[in-house]
Amino acid sequence: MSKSEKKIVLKSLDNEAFEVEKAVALQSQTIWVMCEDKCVGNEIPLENVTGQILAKVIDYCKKHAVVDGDGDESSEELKNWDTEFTKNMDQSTLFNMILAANYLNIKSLLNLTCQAVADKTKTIDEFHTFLNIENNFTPEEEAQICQENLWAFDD
Amino acid sequence: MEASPTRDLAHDGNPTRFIPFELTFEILSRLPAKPLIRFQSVSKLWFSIIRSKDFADSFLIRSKTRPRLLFSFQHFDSRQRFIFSAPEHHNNNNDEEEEKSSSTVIARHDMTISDLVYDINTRPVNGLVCCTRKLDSSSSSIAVCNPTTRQILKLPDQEHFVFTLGSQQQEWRKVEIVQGDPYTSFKGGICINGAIYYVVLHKKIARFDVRSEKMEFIKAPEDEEDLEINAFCWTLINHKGRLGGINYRYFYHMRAWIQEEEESWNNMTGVVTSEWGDLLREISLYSTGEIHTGEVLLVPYRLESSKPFSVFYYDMIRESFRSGQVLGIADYEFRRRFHGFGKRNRGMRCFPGHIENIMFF
Repeated sequence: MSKSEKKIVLKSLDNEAFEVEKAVALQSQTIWVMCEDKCVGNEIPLENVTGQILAKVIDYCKKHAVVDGDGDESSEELKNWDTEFTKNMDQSTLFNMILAANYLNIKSLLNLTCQAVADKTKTIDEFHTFLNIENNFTPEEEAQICQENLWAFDD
Repeated sequence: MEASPTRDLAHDGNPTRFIPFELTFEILSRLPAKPLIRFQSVSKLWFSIIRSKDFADSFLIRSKTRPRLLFSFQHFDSRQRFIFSAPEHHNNNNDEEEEKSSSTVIARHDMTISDLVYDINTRPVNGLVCCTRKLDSSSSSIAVCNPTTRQILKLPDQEHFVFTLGSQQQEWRKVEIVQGDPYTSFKGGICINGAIYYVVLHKKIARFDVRSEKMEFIKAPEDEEDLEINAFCWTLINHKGRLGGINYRYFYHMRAWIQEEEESWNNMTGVVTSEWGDLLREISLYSTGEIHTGEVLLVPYRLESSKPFSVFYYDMIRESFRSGQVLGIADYEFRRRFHGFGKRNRGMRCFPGHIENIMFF
């Protein structure tokens, strides 16, 4: 296999192009299926992911790729890297990372980002804002649910 | 990297602004019970997800990997029963020296039952706790409580009847008992693979299959020449999916009976060193079952408010004990809130294998 065949170009929604090793990109089941189909060339358009998010996804995939002679990262080390990776991400980036991991079908990244949102989000309002959820309870209904579970609100 | 100016950027960098249903489910299943109960008020969708059977099932599966010890004791002055829980102690000493095996966990206050009439005598099953109240010698009334959601459900009074929680038909149905002598006293109670076992009289164990709602009786092993067997003294355990009974009288040895099939039993006897034996006899302990490592849990009868609470574990295979401390039960803050708490030692109940269950009644 020549050098160029081992590389693949991923193109984001906002037309940013990223050249990556095939082994890195194929952690995405979605890209894997696209490559299998052979209906795309060496360039894969990803219509649901912005360049800013895609760059982060690629960082993650590079770290987790098992390339020849490069798979000796200890699991402890990887875990620490994962923690650092999501630690300083703001909520909106995390939200978009979850959507990207879901669209690209990268299970471990989806696990990691869902866990990070669960760990970081502490209040009801944060969920409303960051996951863009509308509170469709009437104030009376909301008050009643809170009243029934008052104990869960004291920390 | 190049950006083509011809591409339409109407999406404003946010391709999807709404999170799909399955991702909401994924995120919610990673939250602990307390925030989940709080987050029911995020939206109607969240409320219905958190209250759904699918979600409760998925929560329970995760929860099974984190078994806890359940503690319960009474406070007479305020007429309350407290329920605490703490993680079961891990066994860190795979092949290292046994001295290292003592460890500490922190207990959390789960629930207060403001009615002293109920007692807890059996192990929790799938996170639900059976509270019983003795009415007279032949009947009792029952309540089911879920410490995770802090709900308690009083069931109508009956005996040898079945009540299915969550079914349409909210009433007791009579169960036909076809064989066996009548009995009024029973002991223990453990649920293994959908069957409930408890000891009746000293040579007989009842097995009730929850699915088929059939009751049968199993004979305990026969006495041997030098060995009188009284199953009524056993603590029933789940030994890798099989029924077992532990006999630890006075801690001169630990003996386990394991049901092989039908009415054939195997037994193994573990040595107790005199050092451990002396200590355990002094504290006065009882067992309520096994923890996730397969070790037998031993708990003091009393919660002494002046001392840290310790539990003990016995490994039948390695024939070794270890101890584990539980902090946070009746600590300073707790005693301050409940005036007069520290004066007396209290009867303590402790059960292994408690898992959090988000099922609402």
